[in-house]
This record gives sequence, structure tokens and C-alpha cells, in this order.
Amino acid sequence: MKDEDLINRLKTGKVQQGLAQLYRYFPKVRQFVKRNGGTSEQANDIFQESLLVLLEKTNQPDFILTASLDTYLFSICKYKWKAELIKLNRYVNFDYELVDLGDTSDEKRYHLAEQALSNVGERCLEILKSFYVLHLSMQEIASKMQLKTEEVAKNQKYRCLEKARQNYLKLTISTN
Amino acid sequence: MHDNQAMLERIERYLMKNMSEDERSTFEEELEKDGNLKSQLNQMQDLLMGLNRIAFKVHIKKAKQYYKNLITLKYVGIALAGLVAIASIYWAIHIYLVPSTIGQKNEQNGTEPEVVYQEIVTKDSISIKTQLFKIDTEANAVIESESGIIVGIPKSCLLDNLGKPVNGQVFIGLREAITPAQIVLAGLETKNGNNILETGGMFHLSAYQNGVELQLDSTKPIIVKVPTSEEKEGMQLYKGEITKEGGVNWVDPKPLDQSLIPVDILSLDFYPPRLIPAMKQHGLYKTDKTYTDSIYYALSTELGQKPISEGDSYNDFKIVGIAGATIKTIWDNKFNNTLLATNDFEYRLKLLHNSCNDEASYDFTNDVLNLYINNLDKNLYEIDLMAAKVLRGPLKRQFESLARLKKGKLEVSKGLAAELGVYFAKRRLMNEKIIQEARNSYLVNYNKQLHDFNVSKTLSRDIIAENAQKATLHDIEVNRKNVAKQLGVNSNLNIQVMLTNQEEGIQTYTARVYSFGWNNIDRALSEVVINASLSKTNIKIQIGGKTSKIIYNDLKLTVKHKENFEKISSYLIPSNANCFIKMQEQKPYYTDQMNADIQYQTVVIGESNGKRYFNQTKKQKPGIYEVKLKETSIDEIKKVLNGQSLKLTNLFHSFEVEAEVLAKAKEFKKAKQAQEVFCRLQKDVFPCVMRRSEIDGKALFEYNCKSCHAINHQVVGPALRGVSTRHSREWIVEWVSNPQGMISKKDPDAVKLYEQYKTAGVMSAFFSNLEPFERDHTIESIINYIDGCTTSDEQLENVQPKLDVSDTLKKIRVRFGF
Repeated sequence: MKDEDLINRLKTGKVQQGLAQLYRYFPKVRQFVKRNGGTSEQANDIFQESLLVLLEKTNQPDFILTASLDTYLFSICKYKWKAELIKLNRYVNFDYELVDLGDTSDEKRYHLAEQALSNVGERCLEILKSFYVLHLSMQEIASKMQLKTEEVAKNQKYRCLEKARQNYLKLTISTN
Repeated sequence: MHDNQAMLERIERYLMKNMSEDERSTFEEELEKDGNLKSQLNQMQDLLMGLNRIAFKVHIKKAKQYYKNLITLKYVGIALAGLVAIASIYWAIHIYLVPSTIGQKNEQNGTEPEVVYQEIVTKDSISIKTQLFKIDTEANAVIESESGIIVGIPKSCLLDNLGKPVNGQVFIGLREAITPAQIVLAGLETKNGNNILETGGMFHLSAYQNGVELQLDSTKPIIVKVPTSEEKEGMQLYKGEITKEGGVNWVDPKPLDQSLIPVDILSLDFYPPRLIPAMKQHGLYKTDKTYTDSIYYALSTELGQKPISEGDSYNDFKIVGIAGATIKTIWDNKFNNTLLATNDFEYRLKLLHNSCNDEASYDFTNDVLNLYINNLDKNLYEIDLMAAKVLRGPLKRQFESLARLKKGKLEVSKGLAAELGVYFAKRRLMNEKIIQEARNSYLVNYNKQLHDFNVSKTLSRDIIAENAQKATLHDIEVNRKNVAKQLGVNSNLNIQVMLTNQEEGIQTYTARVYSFGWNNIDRALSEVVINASLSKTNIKIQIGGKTSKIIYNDLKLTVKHKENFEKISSYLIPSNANCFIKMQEQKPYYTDQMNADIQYQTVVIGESNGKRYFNQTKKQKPGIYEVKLKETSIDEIKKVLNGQSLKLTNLFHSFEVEAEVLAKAKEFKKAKQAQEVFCRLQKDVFPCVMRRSEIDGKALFEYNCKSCHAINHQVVGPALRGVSTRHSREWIVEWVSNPQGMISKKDPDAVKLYEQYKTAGVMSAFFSNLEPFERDHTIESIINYIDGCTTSDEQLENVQPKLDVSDTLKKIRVRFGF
């Protein structure tokens, strides 16, 4: 499969198959992380994080792949592992070629947002996901979540969003 | 609030591109001016990204699972270094992989510590870079390639040109082409003569020391695990031959199935899959294998043994699960290098451990396990087939599909196999005995503890009851004498006594004398006096102008710093009676009633850290008092109790026995709790375990009780869960076999139940026509079934016998002659 096809999969609904294909590169990443003072679990985390970044990047409208996809993914992994080592105060020096991932402050903010959302409760998260990610209508959400009316669902969604916003605000304040 | 919601909805419409052109441009204009709106927008954007990430993570998790399922590792033992492919003959290449990066140079800038990429001059023209690993020949080494090929290299398996083992550091060169793209790019063909191979991957292994290529000791095969997407039947190991044209011809296929890989048997996991999680759940997990072993073997003692005959009470368990003794026997170095010491066998054992869900098969699991143990010299797939024949249901199909993988054998000579067979049979019996004995000795100890506890409890009860009875008799005697004296009656009177008034706290009886004579004793008057004495009721008796009273007053004692003592007992001692009454504990008091016509003294004894504390009040008055205990030696206490006015040798003895009961109760409670945890653990690890009495109980319950009772909820009668903690077993037996009788007898619990379920009517009697022994056993079985693992929690600590009135009355009748 060509890189473009794979990217198209990531962009469209077939994310999962695309990801499964990308998992082929995991042993290589694991080997890299292990060689550079990490464990399999850390490699796993790094790989997942990198897949997230890749997904975000490929979903940006202006995304152009400059290297092959696996090189790109591998670079993200290297970059992430370097960041992790620096965070752990264990970074020595490895002069791999790193892709420029641009400004990473976005990354950090998204990470906080993710944290904020994971604390709104399962039901809330389900409602928010249904609306914002799966683009279900309020009516569909009401029946999915077994709420009486569309209006109730709408109110619920609003309350959940408020909760998430409060969480996010708190997190941003505490980290800055 | 509402404004906020409206604003958020606008932002949302904007971000989700649900705005009309006009609306959109107005919104964007507003954005420029309104800082608050802008920051709200950014925040919303972040949150949407966060949501996406969460959604992606679910995908990633699923993808990982998919990838994991995709990879099944192939085991290959190769006896020769060189180009090798795992392939089966097919007419098409099945392409399922993403393009590879072979040929791109971007990885080669790295200075990775162990792997050096370099082109080694090789004899073939295949353009795959070589991954070079530095290893030490002195130890076993494992290397992992970029594509996930895992190579296990046994120590000193490499030979130099002269066939001598090499020492020190060597380089292992690995070239791999796992994906079709890699294969094509590398110019490798997948041909066997004119056939095209469907490949599961190719790799080339070589070893160097000081630039010299090494050879492999053919007795020490290298183990290679190759990741493949699917395990196809008929995959074989081919050797690559470079043709004159520079291509490769794959020849000399060897079936993979001949290569069972032995591993260290102790590194395998033969435990039931639920064991470790269950131990963790009950807080019993330790990383110590000996400890885990001991728990596992203890849990499995009663499993897997066939009863010698039907109704053999020794084995109280239904056969479910694999016998621990079997596992203990085979999980031993003795079985290294046999098919038992392989991952393949471990997998099969796991299936057997889990067979409990498979009702059609679980009776056969031990037989199937024995097939593997007794056929060490056969091919694994042959045994798989035998197993499939024995098994039924889903497990049968699982073993059939295992057999299709054609796993081979490990070379074990027939002689050795037979020897191991004999060893197994002997050793297993021995282990079984050891495990059973260990468990039995535990149970014997447990029963002894229970017995000891019961014996001292009974002893303590008897002493207290005997003294209480003596005190009551003394009480009656004193009252009788006083009444007779005060009323001026003697035993020659025939009188009738009537209850004429009942004021607060005092009942007044009036007696009339009907006849004079010599022939009657004062039965009626005695009856009144005795009843008042037994129930400690205040009464007033009037005859003519004369009045007599029997008055009881309350005494309540508290003990200072009560919490510092492990045990406290308070005794009320009537003078001139040579007996004692153990006062009842009604927190925070020790209380009893004092006859106004009797002198008492009180003795309070406490225990703390093996020391005794003591208080004596010689002329005790009714009322509420606080008692201060003083540390006193045992001899001194004895001296006081056996002093001039007292002869109470048994009071201190009684206290000591009580203290002993307390200690035993504590110990026994611990054992009981352990037993309960054991029972629960056993049910978690072997979910199909059922004690025979439970099995019987279940059937009995369903036949007899189910129409009116359920375990967890009320039907016609009450829910039965926890019934054995609400009532004693004796009570339950009596109630079940004779409910009406118990109600007529005015048993308080029975009456309460009757009142509560009045509308349903009285329960009918069950099992009343059985012999008592059989009846008790039957009802016990049902209780066991209801209880599951719960052992009833009787009042263990406090020995406080109820005064047996009927027995006392009997004695009174004998003593007073009516």
C-alpha cells in the first residue's frame, strides 16, 4: 500500500486499518527506545503518543508528507523519546536527524485538554464524543444515551462541556 | 448562564462549519474585536482536539490488539547459517503489507550502541543491508531485529574454520526481508524450481569474528522467531541457493513442525490462569514461587481425585480441575527437554485449566493431561489428535485445530520416555500424598482448635450455670423463710394466693386461708415465692393484716479504664451461699439484681497482658458504682476468694477458664477466617468446584424449598441468604422439621417469624419422618448450599449462659418436695 493510501485511510473513516498497518513499525521503535535506555512499556507509550501526533498532523489540511510515512513516524518517535529523556533528566546526546514538528506548545495544550476531558465522567465523555467526533445529531444522542428528549440531551451536553471547560481552565492555571 | 450557552453554541457552529457565509463573516469580524470570544474559541478548539485524541486512542488500542492478533511467532531451529525462508508453495504472493523503506539511507546516520550497519562483502548480490549485533559467545544471547525477528543464540554454538568453538566477542549479521516489498526490492525471488513460494519471510544469518566467517555447531541449533501475519498450514523452512544468474533458488524444505523448542520448564507457567489474579484480589499475592506453589497445591487437594466408591465421604468434592499433584510432579527439571517443557504444552495446559466452562469436557481433563505425560516420545500433533478424541464440545474443536498445526516431537528415546512415565506415576502418588497430608494436618489442627474451643466453652458455661443455679436456690430458700416468718404461716396451711394489685414495680398478692388441717403444704404460696425469685419480681403478699415483701434492687457496675483490659468479669457473691453469680454485661455496665434480704459482696477481675487486676467490695449496696481495678497477684486473689468468710475456689478457676475461652476464640476465629478465605479463593481459582454436600444441598433445595424460598430475595417465605448467621444450626434443624411445634412452644424467634409471615401461613414441616441423624445431615447440606463459603459467625467471645429454668425448677421440686 502506498503512503498516500495509508494517509487517506487515516483521514477517512478507516483509521483503524491504517493504524494497524502502522503498528508494523512498532518493533523498530521498540528497538530504538530500548537501545536508548528505555523499556518496552515506555516504547509502547511513545509509539502511541507518536501515532496521535501523526494522526493530528495528517488531519491538518496543509499536511504534506516530505519523507516516507514510516520515516516520518519514526522521526516523531525519536523526537518524543528525546523529549521524554530530557523530562526524566536522563538525556545524554543522540544526534539523530529529527523532523521539525513545529511549535509543540499546541501538543501540550491538547494534552491538557485530553486530561480535562478524561475527568468529566464516562457518560459525559460519551455524549461529547458522540456530538463532536462522531457528529451524531441530538436526537440520535438522546436515543443512544436513553435520554427522554432532545432537549434533555442538549442540556446534558452543555453541562458536560461546561465541566470540561472548568477542568481545562483549572489545569491550565495550575500548570502555568 | 443562558448567554454563555448561546455563545458556546455559536463557537461550536463555527468550528463545525455549520454557519452560513454571512453568519461566518460576521462572526469572524466579532472575533477580531472581542478578545473574550477569541479565547473562548481557542479553548473550545483545544477541547475538540482533546476529544479527538481520546477517540484516536481507542482506535490505537484496537489497532494494537489487531496487530497483536496478526502476529503469531514461528519457531524455527536452524542448524546452518545462511539464507533461509519460511514459505509454503503457492501460486500467488499474498500482499498485505505496507511499503518498506529498504534502500533509504536515513537510519544509517545513527550511532546505535550495539548495532552497526555496514555493507559486508557477501557472496551473493542481494542488496539488503546487514544488521550487525555484537554478542558474547560465553553466554546465551538474544537479539531482536528491526522487523521483530528474535534470534536466540545458545552459548558456544559457533565454530571456527577448524571446527573448534570460538570464544569472546563475535558479530552476528542478520539480513532480513520479511515483507514482500522488501523481498522484491532486495531482488530475492520466491522460487522453488519453477514453483512460486508464498513466503512468510526470509532472513540471512551469518557470524564473524575478526572478519572470518564462522560456522554453526549443528548440535546446537539457533532459535529464530519470525513474525508472520498468519500461520499457514504447510509452511516449511527452505534453504536459499544462489543460482548462477545471481538469483536465489529455495531448496531443501524442512517442515517447521519438527521443531518443538524446549525451554526451561521452570520458566513456564503451569498454574491455572485464575490463580494469580485471585491471589492478588484476596491480598495474598507474593512473588515467591514456593509460596504460590503451596497455595495452589493446597487449593487443589480435593480436585481431580476419583472417589474410591460411591458415597465415599473422604472425598467430598466433585472432580473439576487439574490435580495439583500432577502439576507438582511434571513442573520439575526432570522433564526438561521433553515436550512438556515447551510453550506449546504450556498453551495446551492453559486450555485444559480453563475447561471448567466446558461442561462436556471437564470430566476428561485429567485424562487428557495424562495423554501428554505418557506419550513423551510421540509427535505433539499425534497427542493432540488423541486428546481431541477424548474431549467433547468446543474443547474438542480447539484440540483438533491444534493438531492441524502438526507440531512435532522432541527427540526423547523410548527408554527415557518409559522411565519418565514410571517416575511420573510414582512421584505423582507421592506428591498427592504429601499434599493431602499437609492439608489433612491443617484440617486436623483446625478441628482440634474447634474442639478445644468448644470444650473450654462448655466447661466455662457449666461452672457459671452451676453457680447461678446454686445462687437461685439460695435465693428461694431465703425468700421462703422470710415470707413464712413475716406472715406467720407454716407449712400446715392450705392457702389460695391471688394477684390483687399491680403497682409500678411491685405486685401485690392477697392470700386467703380456707381450711385448717394437717395434710397440705403451702404449695400456692411457694409457687408465688419461687416464681418471684426466678424472675426477680418485686412482690408483696398479704395475709390477714400481715404483709411480706420480696424486693430486688438493681446493681450496676462500671470499670474505670475498661478499654485497657482484655477481659473483665464481675461476680456477685451472696453471703453464706458458697456460690457466685456472673453479672451480665450490658454496656457500659455489669449488672444484676440483689435480693434486699441477702447480703452480697462483689468481686471484679480483669486481665491485661497476662496480669490480673482485682477489686473486692465487701458490703455491696444496690446502685451504680464505678470500680477501680488494682493489679493483684494470682495467689493473692486466690487467698481472698478462699478466705475465712468465702470458700470460692471455683470462682477464680471460672475466670481463668473464661480467659482461656477468649484466647481460644480469638485463635479459632483467625483459623475460621483463613478457612473462609481459602474457600473463596478455591471458588475463584476453580470456579466449578462444588463440595458434594453443596451439590446435594442444591438438589434438595430445589426439590423442597424452591417453591417458597429463594436465596437472595423474598418469595413466599424470607430470603435465605445468611440464615445460618441469624439462627443456630440446631435451631434451623428444629424449625425446619417442626415449625408448628416451635411456635406452640413459644420459641421467641419462631413466634417472630410467624408474626412476620402471618399471611403466608405457617411453614410446613420437612424431613420430620427421617431418622434424627439423617435429618440433621440433610438440613445441614441445604444450609451449606445456601451459605457457599460463609461460615456462621456465632458469638465467640462472651460466655454468658442463660439460666436453664426448667432444670432449676426440677431441682427445686426435688428439694422442696412438690
